[in-house]
Amino acid sequence: MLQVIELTKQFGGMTAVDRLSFTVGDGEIVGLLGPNGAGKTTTIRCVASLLQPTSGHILLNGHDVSDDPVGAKRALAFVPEVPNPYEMLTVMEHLRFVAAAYGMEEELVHAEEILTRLDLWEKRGDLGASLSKGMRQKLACACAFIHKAQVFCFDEPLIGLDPKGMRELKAMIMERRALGNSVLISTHMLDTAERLCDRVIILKRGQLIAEGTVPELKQRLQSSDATSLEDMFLELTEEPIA
Amino acid sequence: MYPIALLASFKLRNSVRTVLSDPRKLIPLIIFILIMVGFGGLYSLSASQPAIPGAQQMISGDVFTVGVKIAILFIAYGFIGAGLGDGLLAFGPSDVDYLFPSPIPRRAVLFYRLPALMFNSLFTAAFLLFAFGMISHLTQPKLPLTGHTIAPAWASPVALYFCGGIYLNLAMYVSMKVVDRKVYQRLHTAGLIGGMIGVGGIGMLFGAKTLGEVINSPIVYWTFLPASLSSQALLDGYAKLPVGGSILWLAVGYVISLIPVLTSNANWYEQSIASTERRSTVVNAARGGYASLMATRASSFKYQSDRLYTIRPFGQGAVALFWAHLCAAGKRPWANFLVPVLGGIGVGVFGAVSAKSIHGDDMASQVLGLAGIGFFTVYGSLGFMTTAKTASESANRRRELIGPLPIKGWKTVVANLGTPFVSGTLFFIGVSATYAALQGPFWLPISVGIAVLMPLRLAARMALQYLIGVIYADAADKIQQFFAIGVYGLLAMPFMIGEVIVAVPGILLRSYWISLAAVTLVQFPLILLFFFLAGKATEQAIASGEPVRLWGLLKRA
Repeated sequence: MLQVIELTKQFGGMTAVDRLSFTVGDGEIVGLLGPNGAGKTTTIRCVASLLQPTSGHILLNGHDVSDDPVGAKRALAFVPEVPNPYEMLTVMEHLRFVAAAYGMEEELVHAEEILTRLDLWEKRGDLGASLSKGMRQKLACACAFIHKAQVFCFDEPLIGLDPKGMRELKAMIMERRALGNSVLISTHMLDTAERLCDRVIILKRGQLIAEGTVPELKQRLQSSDATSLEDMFLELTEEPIA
Repeated sequence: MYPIALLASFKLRNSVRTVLSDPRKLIPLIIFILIMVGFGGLYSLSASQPAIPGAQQMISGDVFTVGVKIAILFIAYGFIGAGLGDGLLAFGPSDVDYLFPSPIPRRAVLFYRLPALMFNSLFTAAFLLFAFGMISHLTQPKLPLTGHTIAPAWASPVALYFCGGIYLNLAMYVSMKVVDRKVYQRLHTAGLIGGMIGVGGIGMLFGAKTLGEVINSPIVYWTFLPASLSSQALLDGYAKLPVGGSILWLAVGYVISLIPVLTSNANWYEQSIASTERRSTVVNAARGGYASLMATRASSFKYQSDRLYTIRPFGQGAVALFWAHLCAAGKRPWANFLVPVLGGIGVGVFGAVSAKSIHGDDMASQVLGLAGIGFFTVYGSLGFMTTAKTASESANRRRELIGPLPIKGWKTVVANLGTPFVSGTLFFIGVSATYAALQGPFWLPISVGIAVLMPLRLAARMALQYLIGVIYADAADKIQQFFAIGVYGLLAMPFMIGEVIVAVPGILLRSYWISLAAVTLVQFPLILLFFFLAGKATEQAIASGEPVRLWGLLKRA
């Protein structure tokens, strides 16, 4: 389970995330939506312990990322927005390193299956420097799936993937949900979010402005003409014209 | 630690394999090794040579001691600056994506960083030892105290390594603890400038002896204890005095300096990510060549202006293009226009004042002044010449934008080189006018020569440099760029010889003016030729989208 409690993150005088609270339960996929600069990536980076929260708490399976970062990270698999593989590591070596970092080298028995599903098995001996953008994305996802994480954080995981890769990744994410894992996905692909996520959280200027299942949001915006998540998103995040 | 070791071993193994199997990486490595071997050879050769006659009078034991202490002091101070900048905490983007989110403790990640820090320290130690060895071999200064203890060969490198290591560890600790280090950086820079002015001022006004007293004063000694101990170890080793005490204290200091770094629980990932992103942007830009690097750096400057920046259109075709470049350069008037003028004024003042030394108009002072103004003017000229390469790289990057414009190739080249040429000309005018105003020796011919000949010569060489930039357009290919330097030299050499030849009649007639006029006049056909070729190369590159071959270009021309 992922719990974000009153999270605030400031950079200098700028507040990127403002008293944000939400929970991603076991066996749940939650979409983190918002326009550019809403604070999605900052939130996810705080969850991954890459940024130190200015205030508030983040609990990963009960481990506070500030007080027990190592324990919290053991439960987490993180896929950044633009993954940069090690140029001098092969695809397989990435998996070996990640498995070793999580102390789960026995999980490497699943490497072939994961790499095959993501069309990377043939490229297992290729160096990171030679991978295309989509392949880099797939490699980062493969690394996330190689260890037994309980919480998955994806920052725009589908960008750069081919249709087959997108479909396979979505299937893998849903399998994780079935296994009882918590999944947080930041994305701009609203149609995908609508179909994949159990709930969505909409951020605007670092603040949570809406949260719930898509039907719940529709109900909330009953008075408007919004019929899809895209319509609702645009209505909720629309900036008033000065 | 096992995952870190695994990661390092994978990287090392694959890097070695890649370097050995890729000539583009292997050749620069071989060149680097050859240069290092060359330095080693020079070092060994200098050790077996007698001292340069008169060197002991020129560099006394006192001057040598003070010089060594100051050099180590400034380098140690520089290490602190490195820590306050992005250098120490900047990891690779891959580390941010794969290493930082993993459950590897931050202390273990620091161990992964330590080899790079140690390499920095070792490299600096090696450089210092080389410089120290060369100077001490060639001048063999006599120190006041000497003994009979032969220090082991590792003593000096180890002392320097510990010294560098202590400062790097302290700087690392500051980087880990302090997010916004701008104030510290500014204080450090101010201290550096103050120190340089102080050392220069005391040395010039009161001499090496007083400077030595200041450097050896308890305040300086204790404030920079590691630097003081390492310079002591170096000098004691040279004077055959025992060095064990200094090295022991440095070792103790090194271990102590590691404690705060490795015991700190600070979450320095945030600082590191900021440093990594900045460094990564600059490194990626550098791969695209100097122009790309400068553009990236320029983009980090904040232009504080309330009004919107607009370029008022002026001219048509190439004139409009030149005007756009000029307006872009005008965003940074200090760097592009004022610094060249001030640099020129500085060179002019140096030349005139040195030549009219305070000791009187003696021959040695005149030679010093004239050599100084000649050296710095040519050096400045070379610097501006390289801006042509930058302009060429920029033009290559903007080829798809500029290519479709109905502008002839040579006019595009003129427009692209116009602004750097203006900067260079401002420098020459600064030198010339200042030297003339201060009426240095032979001020009229020298000022006219610098004001008239040098800009024309610069224009010709810039066009040649631009041409080479179009032909060897891949700025990321180090081998190609290495060849480009060689080809530039090969092409420039005959024209330099030609300049000497046309100056001969004037020399024979003992007329400076005839030589100057001849060398100046010969620049005109060179300008026409190089701009014509650079224009043709530009047109061909745009039309074909293929690399331009020099020989094919000459045949067509």
